[in-house]
Amino acid sequence: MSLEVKDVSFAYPNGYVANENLHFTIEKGERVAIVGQNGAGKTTAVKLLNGLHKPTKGDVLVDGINTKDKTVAQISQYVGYVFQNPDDQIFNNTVKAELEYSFKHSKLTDEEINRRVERAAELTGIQQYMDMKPFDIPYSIRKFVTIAVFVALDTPYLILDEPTAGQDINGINRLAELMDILQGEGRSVITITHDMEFVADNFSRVIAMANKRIIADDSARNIFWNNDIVAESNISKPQIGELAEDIGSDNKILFRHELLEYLTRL
Amino acid sequence: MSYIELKNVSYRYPLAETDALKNINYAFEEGKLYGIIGENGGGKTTFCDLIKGLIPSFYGGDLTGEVFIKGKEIREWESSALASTIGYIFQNPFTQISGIKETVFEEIALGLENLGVEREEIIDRVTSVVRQLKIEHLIKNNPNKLSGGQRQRVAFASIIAMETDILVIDEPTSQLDPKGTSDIFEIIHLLKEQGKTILLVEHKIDLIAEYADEVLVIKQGELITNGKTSDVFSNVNLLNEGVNIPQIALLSNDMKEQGKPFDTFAITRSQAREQILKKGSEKICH
Amino acid sequence: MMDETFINSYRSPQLSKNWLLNLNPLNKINIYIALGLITLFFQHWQVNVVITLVFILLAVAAGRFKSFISPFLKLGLVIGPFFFIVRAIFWPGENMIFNYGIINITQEGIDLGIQYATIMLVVCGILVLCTVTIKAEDLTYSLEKIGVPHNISFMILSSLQLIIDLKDKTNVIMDSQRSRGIETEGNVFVRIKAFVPVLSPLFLGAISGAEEKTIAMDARAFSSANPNTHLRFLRPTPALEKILVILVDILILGLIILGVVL
Repeated sequence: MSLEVKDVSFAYPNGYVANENLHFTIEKGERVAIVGQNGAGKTTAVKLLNGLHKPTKGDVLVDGINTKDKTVAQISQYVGYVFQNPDDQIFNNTVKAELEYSFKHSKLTDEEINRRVERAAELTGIQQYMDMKPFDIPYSIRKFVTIAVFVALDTPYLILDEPTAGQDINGINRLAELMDILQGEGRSVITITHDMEFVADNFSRVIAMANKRIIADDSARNIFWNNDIVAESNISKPQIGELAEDIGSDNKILFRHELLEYLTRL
Repeated sequence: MSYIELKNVSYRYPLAETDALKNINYAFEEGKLYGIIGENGGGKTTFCDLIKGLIPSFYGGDLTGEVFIKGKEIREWESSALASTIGYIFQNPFTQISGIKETVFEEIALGLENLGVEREEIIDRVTSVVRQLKIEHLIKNNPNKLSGGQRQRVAFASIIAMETDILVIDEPTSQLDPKGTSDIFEIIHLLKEQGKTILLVEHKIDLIAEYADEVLVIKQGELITNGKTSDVFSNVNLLNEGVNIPQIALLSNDMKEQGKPFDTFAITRSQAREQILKKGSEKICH
Repeated sequence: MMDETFINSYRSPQLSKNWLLNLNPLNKINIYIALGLITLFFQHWQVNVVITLVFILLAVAAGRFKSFISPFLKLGLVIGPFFFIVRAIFWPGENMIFNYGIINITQEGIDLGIQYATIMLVVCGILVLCTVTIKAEDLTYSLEKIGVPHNISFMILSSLQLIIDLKDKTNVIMDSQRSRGIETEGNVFVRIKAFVPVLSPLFLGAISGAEEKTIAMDARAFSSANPNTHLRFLRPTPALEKILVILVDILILGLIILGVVL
């Protein structure tokens, strides 16, 4: 069971090519960060994963199902996609109704639905907002509401688009904890992000994109310490990595404790 | 004289049950860059709206205490006069573009047109801002068709052209990529060098550490800490208050706890680099 | 590199090489509407067709035939036949051609249908011609010159942009709702059901967007009491153009009087 992208290219109906020859597989329970400059093709790439875009060449298989054979709504049972702007996805009168909406046609018992909704609220830290109108709660919390929708749905794959934008440290920590729990359950999380500290702290696998293509698919450490890839995809090393490079360390240091160890040995 | 001064300021939004700002006293000096940080929902944006004059005139609610902008109480300012004294830039690059101009050049000129500036002066001022911000290549483009990062630069240009002395900048980079972010901080740095007084809300804590002269920490409507940037960030206990601390400051703290402190507590990469290289050469000398 | 020629273009009035495009926007509208008024007084479909042809010729003269013809045909071919059918099917008359239930086709109905359909062609012609030969900002500039306050022009211009923005926004919201499992592909019922999840974010987004925009425009001194200036400007209307417009108006008035008298 996996998400397979097989030699996929995508062009918009007007002929503009947005992705070329993407090829990768995401296994159950894997955590992948997709990084790169705006316009590199990251968003187009993840839209291929949930069927919003259908490949013009190649195939995308979700647990063996070709996205070309299903509607986006059908694929959404497998691949959850949390958009960058929560306001595009929220429309119910209360946060609770928002979470329950996805189960409208579900065959699950009310008890089970309740259990899932409550758990999702707990994991995303939005319990205290459940009876409020979504637009009366802060923007950064609304983002967690859309995440909770898919946590409750229990999709095996979850795509997060810029989850850390506008989040404070509490929000970022909560995201990290949530991803740990989902991974523990064998669910995969795919994240588009510009936040390199977040990538280094939370993702073992990183896909770097530039110019519509994947230019590297490797561990965070190898990607951040490859200056060619960093330059081509227009990302940056996390601060500690930059400092380690400044002082001439070649141990591919990314984290504070590693640099501390290096410095105290000096 | 203080440039902006708050005396016992409290504020409550209409229909709210608690105060969004609680008894804040602070005096901002001319020409400094102030970083405003703290948890979401803690009152940072409300604070900015207050300085900008949107509170209470736009949002209503109860404002107590006094806010002086250049010595004049905020309630006595005409809102049009305030617009040519305080510039305001916020996070959403899309809503800051007027949507009524067909070229970036005209978009930047809009504020000056509203102020009634003569055509030749508009052209001079817009041209010079375009040069400063290095957006020459964008002037003929349609502002409604730019990328987020480009729009945000145009939004900055539009406000800078109005030549306000004070700039309130609220999370300008939260929707931008690393390149867009560094472009914006280049602009903020430029503004600081020009002697503008800047209030900046930003989550990217490394950038606050690098650019801010002083930092204010706001939590649940209260000003819980303030001071020189290096002093504030050397207090790593602030992590418990929901304040992010730069990794470099945490490293400096680690070194201190290991009994090998830097001579001066580093909060930015270049400071740390200097300290480490110094330590290294001392070792070799002895 | 700064494009000096482009910047210098703001130092002189906005002019193109086309005489028709260079007419003052209000004068263009005057001419188009005056032409359109003829239809109301003549009541012959042949006259309507001739005026439609004149509009097409004007589009050619403005060098805008290509951008004119496609929206004109799309609009005209929907609205024209619609009016024809409504009139032709339901209009009572003496000369019955066909009758079945409520459908009642008469010669009078058909005549009237043709009359209405061709008037609609003229109306579509005016609308499309206005959009392809007049820039919205030029129109608001000339309105301001005759005393319309500039916040009214802001409202006109920003509503136009809002329509474009709403269209883009609808696509994004559609995508994000499909990603939530809301079926938007399929028959009419599926599409109608998908409407609510799209409309509500669109509506709320527009409201919060409007609030932010108000604040952003406030920061651009929109409430300034000073009379505003214009970076971009149009030439003062030349005497010849004034005479031309007056002549056209007199000529059309003459035609109308002639038509009424006959």
